[in-house]
Amino acid sequence: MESYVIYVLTLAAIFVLLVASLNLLLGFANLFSLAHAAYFGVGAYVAGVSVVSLGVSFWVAAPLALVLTGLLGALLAIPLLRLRDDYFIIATLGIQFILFEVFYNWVPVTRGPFGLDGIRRPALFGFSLAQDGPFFAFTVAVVALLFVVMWRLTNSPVGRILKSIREDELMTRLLGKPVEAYKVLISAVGAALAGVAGALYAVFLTTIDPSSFDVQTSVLLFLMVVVGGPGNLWGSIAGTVVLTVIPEALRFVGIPSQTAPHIRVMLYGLILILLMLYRRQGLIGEHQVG
Amino acid sequence: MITQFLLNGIVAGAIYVLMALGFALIYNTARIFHLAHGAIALLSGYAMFLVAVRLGLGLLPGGLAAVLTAAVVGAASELLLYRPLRRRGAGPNAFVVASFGLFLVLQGLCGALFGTDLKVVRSGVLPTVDVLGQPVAQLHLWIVAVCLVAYPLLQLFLQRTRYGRQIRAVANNPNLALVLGVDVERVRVLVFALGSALAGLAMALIVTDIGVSVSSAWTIILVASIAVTVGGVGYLPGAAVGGLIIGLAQNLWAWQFSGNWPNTATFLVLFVILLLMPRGVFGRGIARREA
Repeated sequence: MESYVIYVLTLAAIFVLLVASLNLLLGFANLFSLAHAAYFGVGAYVAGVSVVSLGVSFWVAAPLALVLTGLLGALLAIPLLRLRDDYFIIATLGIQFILFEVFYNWVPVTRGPFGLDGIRRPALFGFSLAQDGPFFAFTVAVVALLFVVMWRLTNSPVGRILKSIREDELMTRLLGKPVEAYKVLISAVGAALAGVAGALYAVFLTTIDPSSFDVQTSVLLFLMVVVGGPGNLWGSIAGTVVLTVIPEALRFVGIPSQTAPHIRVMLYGLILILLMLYRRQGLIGEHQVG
Repeated sequence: MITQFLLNGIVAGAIYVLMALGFALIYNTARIFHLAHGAIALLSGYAMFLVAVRLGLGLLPGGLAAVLTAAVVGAASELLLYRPLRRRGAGPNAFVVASFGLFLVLQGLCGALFGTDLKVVRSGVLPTVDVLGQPVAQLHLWIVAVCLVAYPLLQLFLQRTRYGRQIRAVANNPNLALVLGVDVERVRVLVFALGSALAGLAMALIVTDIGVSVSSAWTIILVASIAVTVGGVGYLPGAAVGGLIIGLAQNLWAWQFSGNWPNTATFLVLFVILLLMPRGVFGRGIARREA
C-alpha cells in the first residue's frame, strides 16, 4: 500500500510540472495548445533513447531532453503564431497527432507500440535513485525547483508582458512590444519544461510507450489547467489533484469497468461545459477563459 | 496502381466534402468553431446503426435516423449551449472549450452505450462496377453521386430561397441582418440543424461503407476544419474543394508511403496551405491574422 501511495505521489509531482508548463502557455499567454502530451513524449523519448540506445547518463539525457524539446516548441511556434485562435488549436492538434504517429511508427528508434524499456534510474553523487522513496524525493525537489523558476518568470517583467498580451494583445503591440517573440519564448519554455517532465517520467517508469503521449493525455492536461485555474501556478496543483482524485474516487462508485473510461470522458466534458458557463476561471484562476 | 488510390481519394473526398460543407455553414454563419460537429456526426452514425441493425429497420430508416439525430442535436447545441454562452458574454476561446466539452460528452456517451469496436451496416459483399479498369464498389459510386447532388442542392437553397438568403445575410453581417429584420437567433438554429444534417448524411454513407467507431469523431472534425481552412475560411465552394483535396492527399500519401500515417497526411496539407496560401487555395478566405 505504501509503495502504491509513493507511486501515485511521484506521478502526481511529474504531472504538476507538466500541467504548470501548459499553464504558462494557456493561462499566461492565451495559447491553447493541445500538443502538450506530444512534447511530454518528445522529452521522454529523447531521454529514454539517449539512456538506452546511446548509453548516455541521465544527467546528460535530461538536459538534452530539455533543450531539444524546447527548440522543437520554439520552431513549431513560429508558423503557428499567424493563426487565429480556433485554428491555432487545430494546428496544435496536428502536432500532437503527427508526433504520436512518429512515436508509434518509428520503431527502430522508439520501439513503437512494443515500448522502450531498460531506462535505468540514475545515481546522484553516488547515491542510487533506483528505490522509489529516494526517487520520489528527488522528483519533488526538481519539480519544486522548476516551480520556483516558473514563479520568478511569471512575476518578472517578461511575465507581466505575457499577461498584458493575454489581456489585450492589440494594446501590447501598440506599446511596441514584440508580441511574436514573447509567444515563441513562452512556447519554448513551456515545451522545454514538458520535456523535463518527460525525462523524469521515463526514468520513473523505466519503460515508456506511445500510449502515454496521445491526444487523450493532451486533453487531460488541458482540462487540469482549465479546472485548476488558468494564469495561476498554484491552480496547476489544484487541477492536477482534483482530476487525479476524481477518477480514483469513481472507482468506488461501482461503474462497470467496460464503460468506466467513457463515463470519465463524459464527466470531463461536463466539467468543461459547466466551467465555461458558470466559472470560466476554474478553481483559483487569475484569468477567465475566453 | 495509382488509379486505385485516385479513385479511393475521390470517394473519400466526396464524404469529406459533405462534412466540410456542414462545418463551414455553421462556422461562416454562426462564427463558432463548432468542434462538437465531429461528435454529433458520431452520434448520428450510431443512431443509424441502432435503427438499421439493432432495430432491424434497414438502410433508409437508418439513414433518416442519422440525419434527423444530427439535425436535432446540432440545433440543441446552439439552443442549450452556445446561446447561453453568448448571453453570458463569453469570448471565442470559451466557446471552443465549451464545444470541446460537448464533444467529449457526446463521444463518451457513444463509447458508454456502444463500446469501442467498429460498427458497420452492411449486407454482405459489395457489388462492384468497372471504372477505368479498376473495380469500384457500387456503394462508392452512390457516395459520389450523393455528394454531386447535395452540393448544387445546397447552393440552390442558399441562393434561391428566402431562408437561404437570410442565412447568407447573417453570414455576411449579423448586425446589419438583425437591423433589417432578420431573426438572427432563428437563423442560427436553422444553420446548426442544416449543417449537422449534412454531417448526418455523410455519416450515414460512412457507416454503410467502412463503419463507425468512437475514434471517428476526431477524424471527422479534423478533416472538416482542415478542409475549410484549405479552401479558404468563409468561402463555401472552397470548403467543398478542400474536402476533395484532403481525400486525394490522404490516399496519395498512403500510395507513396503507407497507410500508417493518415493523420500526418492531413496535417501536412494543412501546414503547407497555411504557410504558402494562408487565404486558401482560391485566395478568397478571410485573412488569417487579425491584429
